[in-house]
Amino acid sequence: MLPNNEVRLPPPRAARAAQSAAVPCDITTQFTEAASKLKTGQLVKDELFTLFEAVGALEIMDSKMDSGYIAPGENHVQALEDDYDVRQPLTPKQVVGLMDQLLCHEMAWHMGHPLSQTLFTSIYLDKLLWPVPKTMEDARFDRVPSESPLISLVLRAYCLALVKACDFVHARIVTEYYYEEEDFVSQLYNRNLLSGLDPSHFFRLLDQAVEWVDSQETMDQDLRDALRCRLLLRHEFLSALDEDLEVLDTRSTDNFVSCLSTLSGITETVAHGTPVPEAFSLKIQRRLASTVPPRPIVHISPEDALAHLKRLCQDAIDMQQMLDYKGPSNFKTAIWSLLSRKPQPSVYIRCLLQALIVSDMTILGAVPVKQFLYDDLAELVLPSSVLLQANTDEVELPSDPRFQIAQKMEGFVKRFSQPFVDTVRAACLNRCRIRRTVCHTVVDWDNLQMEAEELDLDLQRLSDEPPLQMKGGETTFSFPLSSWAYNQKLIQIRRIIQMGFELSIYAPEELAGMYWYLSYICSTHLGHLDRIRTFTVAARKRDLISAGDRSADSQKSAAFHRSFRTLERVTTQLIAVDAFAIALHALYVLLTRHEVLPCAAGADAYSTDRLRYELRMKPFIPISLPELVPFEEFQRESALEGDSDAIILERASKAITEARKAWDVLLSQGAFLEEAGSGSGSGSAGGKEFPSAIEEDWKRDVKDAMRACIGASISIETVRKALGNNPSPSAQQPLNLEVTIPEIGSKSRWHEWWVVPQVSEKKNQ
Amino acid sequence: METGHAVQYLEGLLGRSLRVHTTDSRMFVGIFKCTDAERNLILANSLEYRFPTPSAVETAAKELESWDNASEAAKATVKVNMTSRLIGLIVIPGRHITKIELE
Amino acid sequence: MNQNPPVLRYVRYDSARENEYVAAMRQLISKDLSEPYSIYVYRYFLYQWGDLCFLAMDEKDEMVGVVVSKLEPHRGGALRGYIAMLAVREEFRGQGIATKLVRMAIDAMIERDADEIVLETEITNTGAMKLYERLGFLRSKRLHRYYLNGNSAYRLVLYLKEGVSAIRTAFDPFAPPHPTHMEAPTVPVGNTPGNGVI
Repeated sequence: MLPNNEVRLPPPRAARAAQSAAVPCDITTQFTEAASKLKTGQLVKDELFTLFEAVGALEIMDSKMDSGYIAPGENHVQALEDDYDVRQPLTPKQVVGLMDQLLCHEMAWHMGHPLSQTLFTSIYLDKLLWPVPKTMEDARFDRVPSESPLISLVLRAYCLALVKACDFVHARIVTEYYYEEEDFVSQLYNRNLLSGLDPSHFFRLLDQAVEWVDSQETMDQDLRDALRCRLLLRHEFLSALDEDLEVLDTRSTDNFVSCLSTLSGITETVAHGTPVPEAFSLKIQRRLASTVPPRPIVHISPEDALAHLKRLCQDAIDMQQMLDYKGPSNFKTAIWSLLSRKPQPSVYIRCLLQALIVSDMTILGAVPVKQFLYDDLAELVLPSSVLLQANTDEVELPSDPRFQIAQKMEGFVKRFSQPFVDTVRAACLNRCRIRRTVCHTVVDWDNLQMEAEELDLDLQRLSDEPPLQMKGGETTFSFPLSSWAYNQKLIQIRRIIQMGFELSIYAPEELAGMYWYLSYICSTHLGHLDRIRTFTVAARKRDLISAGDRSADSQKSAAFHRSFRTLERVTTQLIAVDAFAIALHALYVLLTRHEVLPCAAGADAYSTDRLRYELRMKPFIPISLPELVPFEEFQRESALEGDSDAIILERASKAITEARKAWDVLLSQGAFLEEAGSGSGSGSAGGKEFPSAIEEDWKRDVKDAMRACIGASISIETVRKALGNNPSPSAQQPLNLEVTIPEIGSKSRWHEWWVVPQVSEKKNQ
Repeated sequence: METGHAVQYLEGLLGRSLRVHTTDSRMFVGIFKCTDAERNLILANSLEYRFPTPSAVETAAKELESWDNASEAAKATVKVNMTSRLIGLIVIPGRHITKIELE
Repeated sequence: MNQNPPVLRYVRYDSARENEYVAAMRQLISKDLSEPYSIYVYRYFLYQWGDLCFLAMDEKDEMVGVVVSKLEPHRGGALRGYIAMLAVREEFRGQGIATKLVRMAIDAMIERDADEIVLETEITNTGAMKLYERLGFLRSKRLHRYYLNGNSAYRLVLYLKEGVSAIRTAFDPFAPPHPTHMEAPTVPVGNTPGNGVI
């Protein structure tokens, strides 16, 4: 504490400030004289302090940077203190209005705005939270409470429960992976969100407030209802947030369901409230410990706030449907579908979900990560395999190959568990960060695949795996672990490309190349799945030949069945994506070839196609497999050099027809893989339901892709017609077409990942 | 003062805690990092101090009066915190500086 | 549109005229860009890369446009240019002044052997996006809620030489949460929108 941190005053209230103790030395004259000797541009600075750091300094007395700045002419007292009296009487209408204003600020904070621009602009909250209250009794608007229970009880209960709700939200978010400022601003400005106070106090206070409202027989019934449902919301929302990770045990959606039911009451009565704008002030920012520039109050409408809260509750309810583990692919599908909702679930939900996905190396609070990893291996590459069954506990002889297999597999689990779980968890980041993160992890997976290959060689020897003769005549082994890792990597590469479309990363002239590359990755992936399938078929054959014990076989059979079905599903999905990508690629080639596609780069741009290709392929350059397509080949293939317009049109038509069929098949297969008898590992969750709400999201997504397919068919036909009318377009006689690229969010952009050009005949020509 | 001496003098202050008063009667206390000819000072880990508002003083005085057993000596002075807050790394433009003190 | 465009002089920043130039630049830029900059932000760029700063001056020698940039090895790797600020006075927009200034900066960086040039621009700033994309920049990533006003940005990149992408950098996607933009945009605090309205 600095010596002059306090000002001593003679009583009664003469306010003459005086300096205390250690007297600092006035160096104004010496300093000024010394500084004046410096030349323009000459700096005297701490050697370790760089100009780079100096960039972060806020300039005092600049209204844009100095949150404490008071404009000339502004009265100092008024600039710092609001003359708003928190004890002044308020009408029930005003209290309702205030509550809704506070809710708007709370939701704005949930949406990523700082407290300093939202809740901390409330004079009521400022009074409650400063000085920091140590007990419930300390947390009050004024030393002498207002005589009106409407304020001292009802509004205070509402405010306190709101702050406590923020405390829970804050605590959950800051313990998970989120991006400060992008997703959420965690800064509390040296205030405390009543974290030390037990929630039971808040519930009791809310109950008292409700009781009081109910007893106000002279108050208008509408207003009593309005106050009541707002207090109930605080109660239910606080209970729901208090539950946090305990949902894994309680499996109760009651609190969030009750929240939702109060929301309709609130929506209906918003109009009964009278806002009290003077109860909010930017001046409070001048008193908050803050290293950021001053920023305006954020205003969001009650409709937007209620919609945000409603989505949050609904997401929380639907999220519970996936808490029963039903095998790895179903788990991953459910997470990805839920988190791909538009708009993306709020940061609180995403953080809660992260913790539910994995805490203490346990999935959904029930399945050890090792089991999850093994289940995934069993589903994709190792159904009923000795590699996953070997156990060091049962085999004690270290010379026994099964003991050594178990040891190798332990090593694998140690190395791969975290990266594997992270591939699932990454879906909880904001959409921009998902893509950026995958761009980095895909490189890690390239290395992981190589490590897995080493293990595969050892395991192949230890398990005495018989080789297979491939079509070309060469013999080869299954390499299950590296095959599985390669599958992971191919999924990630595909995701990077597809999220590039979603985030509008690509210029129009890049779309042909990107869809070509997408189809290239899909066909590589399909080839890889074929290889996996070949080995699984062979393993099953071996199994049937050597099968003696019937009862053991039913289990084995179920494991193989599940694996074949998983492979089939992934294959269907890839065929659908591949065919659609081929169709769009062909369509864009025609539009590019005939110069009707809008182009972002000018004729005198600095970059060349080669440099732009290198930049676009940057995430994939460090990857050893699949090898990067050399630029010349990319250029040739992606431009369909040598193919006539007719051939390309045919290619587009055929591919889009195939795509429509494949998406149809995919839809009929449904989102989730059903349990067949006793599934693999611990995945059998009995007869519990599949997450129906999330399945709806998945279906909607597939249907949107199908709509995009239809849109693409129409565009292809329009091009066909134009080429029919003008079979050899030239610079003098160009194709009579107009092309626009629909933006995300526009009506004709049916799906984020499928950029279907709008092609139409030019009107006046 | 020679330029050499001037630089030497200013360099001697680097890393030390300065109190800089500004035209709007605020005071900033922080570690001196950098200056130029116009006295555009950079202070690190700065605290902003402001004189308490009359109402805060009044509140403090009332609080004191309410302590029945407060000694006469304690009643002789009322302590009111000069309001302060952490604002971190700042630049104070020379034209707004009224006084520089060394702690 | 009938009027003849005013005759402009394009000049490189001159440190001998620091006081006069910096004051004019600050005025021009603070009008255009959403993020506030202190005097030391200008110093950071101008003291080290004053030769990469270009100005457009009118007949009365008043500043109507400015581009501020820097050039240094990126994490010990590629020589990376960065366009930090670009602004043109409102009544002079639509005449290609910004493009001319950016071209001068890029040419100066090429002369100094730059491998690549990067910048960020607000998603809503379509004018700036178009300008840079016309010059051959590509969007490399989208930055969620990058600016103080909550707007997102695109990172735009222009490669000037082959083999730039081969340089790898360390990254831990699940490292503990960090204070702010870990990617360390070339300017650390109060991210540079790079491109006011132009």
